[in-house]
Amino acid sequence: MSDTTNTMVSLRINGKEYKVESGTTLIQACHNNGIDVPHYCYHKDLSVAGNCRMCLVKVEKIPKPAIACATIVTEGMVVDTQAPEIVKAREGVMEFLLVNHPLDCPVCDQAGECKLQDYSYTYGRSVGRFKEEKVVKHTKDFGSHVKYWGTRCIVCTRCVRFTDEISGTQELAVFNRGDHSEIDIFPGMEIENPLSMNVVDVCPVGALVSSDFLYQARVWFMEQKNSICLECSVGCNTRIDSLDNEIKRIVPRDNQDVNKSFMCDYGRLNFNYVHHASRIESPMAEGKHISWKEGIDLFKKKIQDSINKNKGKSLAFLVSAWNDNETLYLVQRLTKDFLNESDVFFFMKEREKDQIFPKFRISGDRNPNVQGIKTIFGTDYFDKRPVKALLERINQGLDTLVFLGGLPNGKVPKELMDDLDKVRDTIVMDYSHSEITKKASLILPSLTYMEKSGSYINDQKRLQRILPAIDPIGGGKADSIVLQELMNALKGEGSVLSASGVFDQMRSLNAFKEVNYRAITDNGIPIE
Amino acid sequence: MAFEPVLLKYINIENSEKMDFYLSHNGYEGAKKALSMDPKAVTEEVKASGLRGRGGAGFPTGLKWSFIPADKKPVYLSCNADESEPGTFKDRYILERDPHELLEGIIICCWAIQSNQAYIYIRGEFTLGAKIVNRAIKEAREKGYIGKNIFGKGFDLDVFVMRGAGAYICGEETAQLTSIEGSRGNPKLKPPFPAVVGLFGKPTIINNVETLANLPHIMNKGADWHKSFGTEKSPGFKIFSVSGHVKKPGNYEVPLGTPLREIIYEYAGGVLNDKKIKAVIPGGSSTPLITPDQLDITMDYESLQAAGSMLGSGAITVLDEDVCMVDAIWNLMRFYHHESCGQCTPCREGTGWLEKLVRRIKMGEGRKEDLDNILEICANMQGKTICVLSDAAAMPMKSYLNTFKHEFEAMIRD
Ligand SMILES: Cc1cc2nc3c(=O)[nH]c(=O)nc-3n(C[C@H](O)[C@H](O)[C@H](O)COP(=O)(O)O)c2cc1C
Ligand code: SF4
Ligand code: SF4
Ligand code: SF4
Ligand code: FES
Repeated sequence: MSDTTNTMVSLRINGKEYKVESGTTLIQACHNNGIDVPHYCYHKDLSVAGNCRMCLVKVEKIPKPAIACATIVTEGMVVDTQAPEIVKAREGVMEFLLVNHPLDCPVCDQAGECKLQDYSYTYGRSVGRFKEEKVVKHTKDFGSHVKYWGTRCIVCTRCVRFTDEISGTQELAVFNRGDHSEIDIFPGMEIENPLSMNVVDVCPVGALVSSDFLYQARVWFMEQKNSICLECSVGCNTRIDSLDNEIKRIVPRDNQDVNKSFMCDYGRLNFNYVHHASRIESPMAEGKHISWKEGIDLFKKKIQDSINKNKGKSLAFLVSAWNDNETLYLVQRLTKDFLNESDVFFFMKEREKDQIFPKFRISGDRNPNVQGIKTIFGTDYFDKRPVKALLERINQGLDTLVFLGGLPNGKVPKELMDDLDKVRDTIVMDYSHSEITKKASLILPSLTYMEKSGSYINDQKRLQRILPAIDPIGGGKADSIVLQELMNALKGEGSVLSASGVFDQMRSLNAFKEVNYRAITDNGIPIE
Repeated sequence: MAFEPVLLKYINIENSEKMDFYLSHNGYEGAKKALSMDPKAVTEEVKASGLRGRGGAGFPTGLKWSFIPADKKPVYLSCNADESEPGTFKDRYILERDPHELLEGIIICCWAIQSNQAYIYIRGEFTLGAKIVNRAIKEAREKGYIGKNIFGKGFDLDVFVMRGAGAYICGEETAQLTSIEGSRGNPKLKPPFPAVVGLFGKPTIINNVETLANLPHIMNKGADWHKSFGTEKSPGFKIFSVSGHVKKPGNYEVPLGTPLREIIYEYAGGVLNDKKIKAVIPGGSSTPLITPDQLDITMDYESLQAAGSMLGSGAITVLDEDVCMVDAIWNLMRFYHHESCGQCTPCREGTGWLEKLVRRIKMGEGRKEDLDNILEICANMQGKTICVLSDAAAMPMKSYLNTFKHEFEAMIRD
């Protein structure tokens, strides 16, 4: 195909001329030009099955209705997606699809985002003509996260193709024939792979549902906010759905340059810490709750003392690779402007093995912003400052340590804990209580990535941004805000900028020179 | 009735399935002749003979072979011996009684399309046929007609028997290939056609048993000889499997173009108990009915098409005056419901719906609107699916209902 990809083909769809790349299918040509073609089995990131027969269109010179998902465009093709016989054919398909369907939308989790419901409005009948007994199929747990409701299944085989082509785990297949066809796991298998829950997303109806989300919320009541997953360096694009400021689920969001339409279960399910009781409610000093004003003043005082005492030589920062670019940049500014010689050290989650699937990758680098650190501080600087280097520094004598955490579940570097008693003052910026907050003289609560704005750089050097999906839980503030407040207090003046404002300042760095924060949009942009 | 059978000439003679017998009756001469010719010339000869596929669709055999791209290797042949359509039982006789006629045909075809590997996909229930074919392959291998350097001509050919597992759909060509590949026998989207992308992604020809059995005779006696039988558009001769209410059910080989009446009354001995005919299924269970006033129709592809039906596989089923047409179609709907692979929505749901509707009518629970609904369901099933099983179910349903509407209405108490 490579020799034809660049040539263009012109064709006529519903009376209008279009030019599309040769080799594309009719359904792609239509979708890329904003023409709706209803479909069930077609999924842009899976192979073509052509079984649902919903995408029928009329193509001149082809005697029978053609399926748009499997018809390759040809020069001069004349297509009608709305011809009366086509509408009638789709109505026929819709009716067939519902013949053995239980019509149990009121108790179905998919209701509200179900393709059967969607197309029923256009192509459905108001009164069913099927008066016979329906085929009964099984309901079953396919694995700990995936539940199957056979009666709702339209046998589109998207789920089977996912396990064949994307995860390569092949747990699923169609069993039985004709209207007794149903999806099942192979005997002795369960769908327990790290990508298992994608089959729920690819299922266009309520046949595969998430056991974790089951009966949690009606989808139309939920707030939906675009985000990215930070659980590894891939940075899958996601959507966070919440109800009454409580996160209910995370689902993948299509980005052909990052994660296609998929994400891993780990990233999808790891959000409970956001609502955990260990979240820090307000700034604290020596075990007592204080106000933010008091907290910033104390922060300033501790930094000032260190500067006065020995020009900050006895102060260090320990920053995780979970911090956003804006925070990292402000740490750099702070140290440059006020603490000439003080050092910044970095910590990360331990590297795990990459998990490579036929068409998906989970990175073993379980940190979202190593690339951001390298971009802002430089790779050399980063390489010389692991936790081990900080320990040496502590043992040479260190008065003050500022800790910027941000790892889920309050993870902290274990090797640090023994030596921490040697540090007089530990200032912790993190969002939940942990081993390290116990030893802190000052705690300034921060926010999880689901409550704040900022940008990250994934391991493919793609700059992506996060936006608050819910209102802050507890009394935290974004680290980038707190650092600006501190710097203003040290300077005695200045205003506090939003993430985009900080980003604008960051454009003084080479890597970001050409980048406009607004241009990052929901899809991110590659940087070099 | 002057025609002397060609394909079935020896099937009633003892040992007709053995190599010695076959060789003593001019066996493998056609293959030898073919291998001494240019492969293209063989294809041309078959084209010239006008031979059309006997598996149901009647596609010109030589033309199909010529679709094989010259530059894609390897090429495969799948001999379709899945014969599962109700009423069709002709291939079975060739498998059991004249397997060498088929093997010789396979050799000729493989030479023409330059395939070194052929599969014979035998219906699962044909245990005897499979055993006999396997024995014939062994004999042919011993003689050097199958294997390396066959007939000493520097051409290698292997032939394998694949057994179906009881699914009618595996007779559909693309489903057959999926099944041979080891997957569930589901039909595949076309294009691409198997002649270009077939078995294991390679160019593949699928031919019916009877089609291939014709080849040795065409090679031996020539295209003109073959064309001297039958009609212009349907040259040659064909085996008709006659069943139902006739005195002598069985396989009858006649020139294409023979009147249906002659086949029923002269070959098959007339209607059982001399009853009247109510309807005839002319070419296998999916073909629309022929009524008694049409019995003079000649059995060739074009005449049946003109009459709104099809020659299909040549399975003639005679239904006498006592047959309840609702009952008869229920039987067929049960078959198609059971055999739909279930991929395509219209076929998966339509076949089941039709069966249940007809069953309900048969049980005396029919409603007036059922009959219109049946016709609309049929319309929604036709021409919209991956393979034509959906059409094959809808066509007879429509035909039975339209032709015998009064019988359906009589069973509806409203
Ligand atoms: C549902 C279905 C079942 C079929 N079953 C058979 C069969 O049992 N035997 C057969 O030869 N062809 C069968 N066919 C036709 C084949 O798809 C194919 O056309 C044929 O084998 C080609 O061989 P021919 O050109 O020699 O006729 C079937 C087709 C369909 C749609
Ligand atoms: S479970 Fe869902 S995705 Fe799988 S075949 Fe059924 S409807 Fe399609
Ligand atoms: S692959 Fe990485 S970024 Fe994607 S969902 Fe999983 S943990 Fe998150
Ligand atoms: S038409 Fe029926 S048998 Fe053929 S592929 Fe579709 S569902 Fe299967
Ligand atoms: S979307 Fe084309 S057949 Fe299903």
